[in-house]
Order: sequence, then structure tokens, then C-alpha cells
Amino acid sequence: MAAEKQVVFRVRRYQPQGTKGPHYQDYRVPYLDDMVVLDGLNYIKDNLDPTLTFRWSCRMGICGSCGMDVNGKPRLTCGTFIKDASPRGIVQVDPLTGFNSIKDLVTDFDPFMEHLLSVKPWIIRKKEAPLSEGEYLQYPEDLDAFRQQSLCINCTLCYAACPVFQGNSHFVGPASLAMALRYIRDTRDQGADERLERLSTRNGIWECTFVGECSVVCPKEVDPAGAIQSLKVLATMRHMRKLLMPKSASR
Amino acid sequence: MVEVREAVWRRPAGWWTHNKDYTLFMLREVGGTLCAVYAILLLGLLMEYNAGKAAYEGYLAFLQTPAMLVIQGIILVFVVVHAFTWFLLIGKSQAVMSSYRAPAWTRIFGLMIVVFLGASAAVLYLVFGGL
Repeated sequence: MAAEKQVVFRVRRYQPQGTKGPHYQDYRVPYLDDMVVLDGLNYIKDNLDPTLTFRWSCRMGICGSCGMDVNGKPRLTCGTFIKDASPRGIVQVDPLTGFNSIKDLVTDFDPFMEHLLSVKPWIIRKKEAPLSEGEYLQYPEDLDAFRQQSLCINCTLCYAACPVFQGNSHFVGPASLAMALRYIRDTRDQGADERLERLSTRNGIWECTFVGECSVVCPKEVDPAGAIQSLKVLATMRHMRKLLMPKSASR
Repeated sequence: MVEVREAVWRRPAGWWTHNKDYTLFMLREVGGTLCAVYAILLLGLLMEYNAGKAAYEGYLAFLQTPAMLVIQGIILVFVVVHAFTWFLLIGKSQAVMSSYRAPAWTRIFGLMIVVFLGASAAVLYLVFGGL
């Protein structure tokens, strides 16, 4: 590599089979201005230390696999340039905050997956229309209603930025709640009632104190914080409607 | 099945000092509590007013002691922080929409500032200007 500049990668290591607990290890990495943090980690793995373990796949901000804490902030490492992340010549890389580490920078996503499944992120129909009637049609504005939330790539940066989730791992969390709103706003979906019943609980939408950091770190501008506030309004309106007009339609 | 020994993550003490947004959030929450404290102080004023002129004036004198003035000054700073940080958020939490598109949060923030300044000016006029 014809790179003149060098940077120190301070990487948090954890080997489950070893006797040492989590600790930092420094690597000197040459870099060019167009290299991202993920490139630096791959340089370490290919040239300096093949035991370093981390997740990555697409390298273009689509798969959501390479989320890590870079200098204490949750980031997609494929979208973070080394030159921007090393103001003092050091790039510190940690596993995502709030999650247990399985090995080095690989975190245990099971809690997130459980929360995501709990909001039923699929289209629920009370009764499926027969195939002969064709597909469920939508207008462009119907798509606009949930397009923003549908951009979520499940990278869990929002969980790593959420102090509520860090204090209470039972909190359903930003990405899952944004996904719930995505399906509730989908005109093809009829599961709003059961989702809102699940979410209008202490560990659901009402646990969110609106710190807003989830929306700040989101690489796809999903705005989970805004989605949760929308869910709070929807849940409240639904509750009031049930109270005042028990026979009204659910949607 | 092999049991995986994970490194358990624990939230560090003083976590809210590590990020300026977390710090601002904590200040906003403290400001909310201090809003309630000031409301209790004002309710006390109302109670003393009901108890008679002497009690009311005694309570006013208590509120004007140096210690209470300092406390009210601190409350004022926190309440202003609370108000402005909420104004920053209102546009983002805006969920009741006339169409599918919410107005930009900067517009809502600007509107809130105008309403805030207008209401403050009206209160100042009522207290110091007359009517």
C-alpha cells in the first residue's frame, strides 16, 4: 500500500476462550484519505493480526453488519473515513455499546432480534384476499407514509446510542419501534391493534424518554425517535377512541 | 451445544457526561423537575394569599430572601434550558399531521421561539407595564 500517513487503531479485544478479560490492543495502520475504518480493520486482519474478529459484508452501508463504536460513537465503519475519525492520530474501536461481546468486536444481537420479532414486522391480515383478486394495491402517497421507516437496515446503532436501552434491556428499542410504525402505517396491514397493545406498555413506547440520540446516529435517516413519538400519539388516540367510541372501526 | 462466554456490557457510572446530547437530556429532565418545584412555590403563594394579607406578605418576603432569590435564579436557568430543548424536540415529535408530510422541525422551533418571546413580553407588560 502506497500510503504515507499512519494511524493507531486502538481496538477492544475479547477472546472468550482466553484468561484475559476485555482489553485494548494497538495496531499501527497506514492509510489513504479515501480509506474507511472498516478498511483499516481489514488491513489489521490481513497483515497484522488474523485473530481479530468483526462483522462486515457489503461495504456500502446497506447490510448494517459493520456497526461499531468509533471513538465512543456508534457508526457504520464502512461509512466512516479514517481521516475524519483520527483527530489525534488514534481511532478507538469498540463493540457496540449496550450489547454483550461474543468475541472482539462481534456483539450478541439476540436481545435485538427478540425485540424486533415482538413487534411482528410483517403484514398482518385478518383475512387474506384470494389470489384471483390480485395484489393489494397502494397509491404512491401510501408508500410515502412508511417509506422513511422502511429504510431501516437493522444495524442497531440506534440501540447503542439509546441510554434507555442501556439501562433497561427489556425496552423494545428504537429500530423495532420504528419498524412497528412502518407496518402500522402500511395500508395493507390490519395488525395495528395487536401491535399497539404490545407496545403500549412500560417496556414499550412509554419507556422512551425522547433523548433523540437514536435519530442522530441513524445512518439511513429513519428517525426512530420521531417514530416512537408518533406511536405514542397513535396509542393514545386509539385508547381514547376505544373509551369514547367502543364500536368504531380500528383504523 | 457449546456455551458461549460473553463479555457482559455494563453501563459506566457518569454515562451521561460522556456525550453532550446525553448531558443536555439530563439537564432537560432536571429542568422538568425544577419546573414542578417552582409550581409548588407558586401554589404556596396562592395558599398564603388565601390565609390573609400578613401571611401573603410574609411569604413574599421569604421569597425575596437572598437564598431564595439564588434558588429561583437557578430554577429560571434550568426552566429556560428545559423550554428551549423541548422547542428543539417538538418539531421532531410532531406526529399529528394534516398530510403525510410533517413540517420541518426548524419551522416549528422558530414558531415556538416566537410564541415564547411573545408570551414572555405579555407577562412582562402585565407585571411591569400596567393594565
